[in-house]
Amino acid sequence: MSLSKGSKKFRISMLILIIEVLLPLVLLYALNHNYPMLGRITSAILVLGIIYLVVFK
Amino acid sequence: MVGRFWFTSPVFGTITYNKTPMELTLGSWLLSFLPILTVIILMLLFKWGALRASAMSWLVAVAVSLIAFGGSWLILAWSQVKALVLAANLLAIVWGALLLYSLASEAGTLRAIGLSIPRLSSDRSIQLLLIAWLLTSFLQGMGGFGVAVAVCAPILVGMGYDPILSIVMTTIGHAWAVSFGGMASAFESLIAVTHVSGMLIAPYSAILFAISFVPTGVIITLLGSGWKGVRHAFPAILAVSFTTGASLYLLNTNGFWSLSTIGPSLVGIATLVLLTRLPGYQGTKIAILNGNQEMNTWNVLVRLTPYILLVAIGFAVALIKPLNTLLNRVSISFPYPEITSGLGFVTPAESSPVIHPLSHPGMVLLVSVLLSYIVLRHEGMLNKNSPRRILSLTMHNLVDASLGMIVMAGVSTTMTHVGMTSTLARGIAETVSKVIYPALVPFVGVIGAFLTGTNNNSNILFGALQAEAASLLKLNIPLILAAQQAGGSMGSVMSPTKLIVGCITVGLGGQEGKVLRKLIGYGLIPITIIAIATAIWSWLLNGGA
Repeated sequence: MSLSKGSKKFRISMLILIIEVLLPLVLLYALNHNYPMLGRITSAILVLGIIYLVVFK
Repeated sequence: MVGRFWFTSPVFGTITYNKTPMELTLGSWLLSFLPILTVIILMLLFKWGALRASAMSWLVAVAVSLIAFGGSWLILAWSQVKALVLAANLLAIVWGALLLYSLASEAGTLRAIGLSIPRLSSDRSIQLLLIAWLLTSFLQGMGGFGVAVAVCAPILVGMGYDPILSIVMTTIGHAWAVSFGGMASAFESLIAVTHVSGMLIAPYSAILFAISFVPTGVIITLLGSGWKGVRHAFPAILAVSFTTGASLYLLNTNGFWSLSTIGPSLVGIATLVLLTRLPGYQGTKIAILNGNQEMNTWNVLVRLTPYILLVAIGFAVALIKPLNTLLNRVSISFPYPEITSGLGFVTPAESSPVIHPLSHPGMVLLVSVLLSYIVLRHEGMLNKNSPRRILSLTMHNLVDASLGMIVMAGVSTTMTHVGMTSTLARGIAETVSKVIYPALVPFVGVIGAFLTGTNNNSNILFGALQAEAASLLKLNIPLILAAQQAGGSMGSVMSPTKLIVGCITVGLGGQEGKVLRKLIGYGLIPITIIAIATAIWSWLLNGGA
């Protein structure tokens, strides 16, 4: 079953919303507990989420 | 400039630069302004949407903070966490208000209100004031999101008014109502970003809005009925302005600002209804038909359940002291550590604003929705498919709104934590006269809201800046914040995002530019009056200096 364009956009927006809500907390945890790799990955995804909004919204 | 530099702000406490602060130059000021400039250029010149432009502004703010203001990923992480807490507090209200609106829409409440108003009087001027001024304000108090214009403008078109004028009249009519509408989420955001007590800002805010009431009533009547109509309705405009303004002031000064749109709107409607008993404003009352059926009072009252319950529960939570104390026992607050940027800009350790989840406006809205659902389902006004439709409508509307608010809050907190807001404020304080600045404040609020589409985002974006600039200029901070709030409220109703909704409902889709030109001309009148009032008031508070 394929999703309509509207449903796909809605689900992606929902995913970005979840990313923007959860990742700052993960980033903070990574930086405070000295997990540099986790910190880098988290901040990269956080920024990519914002870039998605700039490009596709 | 090397060494220790500090200044004390009543808003932010002592702000200290321990190492090398970003020296205030045209370059540093422009860099600080870059995120805001990004939003302005992308939205005005490139016609980007608010969410997309905010996201770009976020990237610019982060890049500038990392490159030029000693930002770090740790500061970014804390800024985002603080932005989340700030946004979550507001989104609980926005989500609740949107859920209530979706429920009311599904149950036919909005249509019932629209059909009932003309029944109160057949006098054209009174009808116009009731629909374009007071009903729009009441609906804005219930939720907003462009609903006020979307519901009321078609009613006016149906009564024979020009579609463009219908949009303009309904838009100007509820411009004051945005700040305290939707359980005062915009006002709460101003408090959250500035840490200035709402009790200090609220009285100024009430008076500034009250000043705009008479011009608002006059503009609506002038557009709809001409000068003859203005002369006929002027006593009614004065009476409504007085009772509405007085109730707004009373609610605000007693801390009930979450009801400061609903309450005054109802008082205004009651005033006009009383005035229809006077010989000059009486008319022949006509039956109101919903399809082929005449709507009776009971039918209307049942459909109004969501709003009746909201007002009742809202007042009960705020006014019944034992209940309020009991609900306020549960509270949430987060401690934040001291944060120092690479250039030594220090944000002191602080706590997040205390949130009382059980007495929170979001909870009041949620309980109202649940109880209303039971009543409306029992009365057969909702069916078994209604919950799915209500949730679907709510979810589709709230995702982008939530993202926009979180991203915009992120821009504001990032700028604040590396000293960009402070640099902007210092620049303004050193270049703009303290006599002129208060008059500019409402227009800054207008620009923020016009661009971002909401009073909330305008307050989040500019609230801290306005507070700090006022502090540096030694101006009355609550007055300046009230002026920012008033400008934001009036700017948000003129924003393209809301205009699109209104224009579609009266068949003017694609002609938003034409409507906007007419709207700006009239809409700027109350804003200019507020700006002049702010400047005079500020001058008087400073002892004429």
